[in-house]
Amino acid sequence: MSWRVINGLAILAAVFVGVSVVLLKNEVHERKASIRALKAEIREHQDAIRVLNAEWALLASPGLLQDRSMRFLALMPMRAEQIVESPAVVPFRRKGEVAPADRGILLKARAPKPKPSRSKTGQAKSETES
Amino acid sequence: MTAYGISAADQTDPYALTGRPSSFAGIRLRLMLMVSGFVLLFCVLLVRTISLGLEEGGVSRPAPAISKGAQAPAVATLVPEARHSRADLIDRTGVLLGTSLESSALSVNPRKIDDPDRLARTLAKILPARGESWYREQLTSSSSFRWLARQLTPRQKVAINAIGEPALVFHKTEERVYPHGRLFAHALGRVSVDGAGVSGVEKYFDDRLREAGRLNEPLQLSLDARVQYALTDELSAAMRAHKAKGAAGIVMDVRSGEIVAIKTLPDFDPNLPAETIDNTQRFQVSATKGAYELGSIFKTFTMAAALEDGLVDFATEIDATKPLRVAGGHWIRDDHPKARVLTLPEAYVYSSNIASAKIALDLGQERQEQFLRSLGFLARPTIEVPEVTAAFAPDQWHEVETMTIAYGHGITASPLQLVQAMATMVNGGRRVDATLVKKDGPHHQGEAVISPATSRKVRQLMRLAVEKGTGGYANAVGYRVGGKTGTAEIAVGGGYARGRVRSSFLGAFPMDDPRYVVFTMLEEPKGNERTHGFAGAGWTAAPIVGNVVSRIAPILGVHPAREDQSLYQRAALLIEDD
Repeated sequence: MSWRVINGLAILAAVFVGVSVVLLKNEVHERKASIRALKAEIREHQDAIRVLNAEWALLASPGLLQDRSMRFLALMPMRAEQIVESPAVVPFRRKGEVAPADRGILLKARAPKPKPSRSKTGQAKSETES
Repeated sequence: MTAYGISAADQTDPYALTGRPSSFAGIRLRLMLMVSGFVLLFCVLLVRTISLGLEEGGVSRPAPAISKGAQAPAVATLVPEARHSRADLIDRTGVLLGTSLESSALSVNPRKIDDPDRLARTLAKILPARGESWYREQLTSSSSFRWLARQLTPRQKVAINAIGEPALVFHKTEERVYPHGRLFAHALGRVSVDGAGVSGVEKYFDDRLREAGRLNEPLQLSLDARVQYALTDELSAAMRAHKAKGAAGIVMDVRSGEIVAIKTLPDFDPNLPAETIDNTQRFQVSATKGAYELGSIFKTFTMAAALEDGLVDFATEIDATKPLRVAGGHWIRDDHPKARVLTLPEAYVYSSNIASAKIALDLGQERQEQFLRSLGFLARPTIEVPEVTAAFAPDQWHEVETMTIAYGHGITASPLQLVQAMATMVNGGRRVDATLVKKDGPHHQGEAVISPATSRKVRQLMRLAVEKGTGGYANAVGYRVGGKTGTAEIAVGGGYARGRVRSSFLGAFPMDDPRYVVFTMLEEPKGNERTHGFAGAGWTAAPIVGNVVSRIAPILGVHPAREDQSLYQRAALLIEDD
């Protein structure tokens, strides 16, 4: 191998190394910037989580829940007699007995006052609803 | 080595570098060495560059390396430090009670404003906390800086930004936010504008909450938001129904001393600025600081001391036929006079002042004082709020005082002290100290004040007082509530105000294995139609306990059960209805 070839290879290697180092440096810069951006984002999210936590505590506060429950749910406070310690004490349904239809837990919306122009079926429906 | 321009130089001027032909070979050798050195260094650089490039998360990979699990320790150091300056407060179930949030404040430079009237009108619409005239006053002031509002909501901020007024300036601030508002007002306390605790837990734990390394570590309290709400709801309902001036209530775990709920009414909203809180109202009644003569509840402690010392037992008969005359020409009378000889359960259930005074005389002043002291009266409670009663003992403690203290007059105590003492009465006789911090693991067993046997007897008496006595309305079906009513006339300038009473009820449940003590108090309740005009504790304070227990027992995991009547049979037989 002549010196020329060796020299050529050496120059190529030097150029390659130089370019790679520049690229690497660039990459590091970019990474650092992205880390900074991520840090800022994490901070923002942390703050947002704190606000959401506070909001959750506010919206789930017992007073508010009670108010909403009274307005929208057909649920009543539990009485002591309704609490059983084991499901074993709940009796089986007797043969032929039909389970009552599930009325749901939502409070039925107050039916609008029947208007004089309304048909009889409409009135009857609103009465059953109320 | 033409690349380095040396060969050409060799041919034209062989001696150009050194001037000596003999050293030419040496130069060449040195140059070769140098070049090899450089090549070697470049090779090292090359290898390192390639190896760096090939490493995980290399140049070609778009995903950032910090998401890799192997680099987890590095990630941990990347997470930014907390920016808030106060740790959060949470309840025993983890519900957030107090937190510090970044917020904005608004200031103005009035000198830069062209149309203050229009701006004031707009601001009053966006920030209705103050009136238009107030804003106008601020905007027309001659200074160059005025605060307009703190704690702006994001929506308000957007709206204010939309005005586009350059004289308005936003400032980043931190606000302490209590999501539950008034619910925990007195217990948590509040912080000042600059973030220092000024009352309640916020003040007591000020250093802990501001400790640099523990800002992300919330302080867990023993309170339970659901129980606190149930107590508050019932207390405020009763306060409204009886037009009372104030109310207080406590729920405490009898074994650990943890306060599950503590409420004082009237309360305040700690989220509002300090100047809007009426301080005269704020501590008119206090569950921790107030010192009250709470009347008949004290009979429990008198009877317990006598039972403990073996001075009396259930069958002991005490003559309560006639009022008792004491020094100074005063008389001790019964509020529900039976005018006959009473057994011990009768004396307790019918709340006889005469019988209690007589028992206390047998007990003696010294033993009474020592007993009350061992229960935590006469000493400052160790609860974690700064607002507690100071140690207090009556000025004089002679025979008369011994007799009146037996039924709760002539001695003052805070509701907190009473609850602590009652916990000792029912938990098997162990002293407990109230705490607002959640305790983990097995609790410390306090010193024994009364024997488990005496504790059992006291529990029987308390249950019977609800079943047959004045506390009937405290009975929550299924939860075996026991307790004692206390109706005391309010002391006014050395005497007692007729018709102005403080009604209280101190109970525990379930009585066969007590878990919680519940205390309620109403300040100057008025009788209403439902109570037939009566304002006594049995009519006003006891029903609150009944309602509170029915609501909180399922939350606290106390199961309803059929009562074992035989537990109280022996004592019940000694009570004669008439």
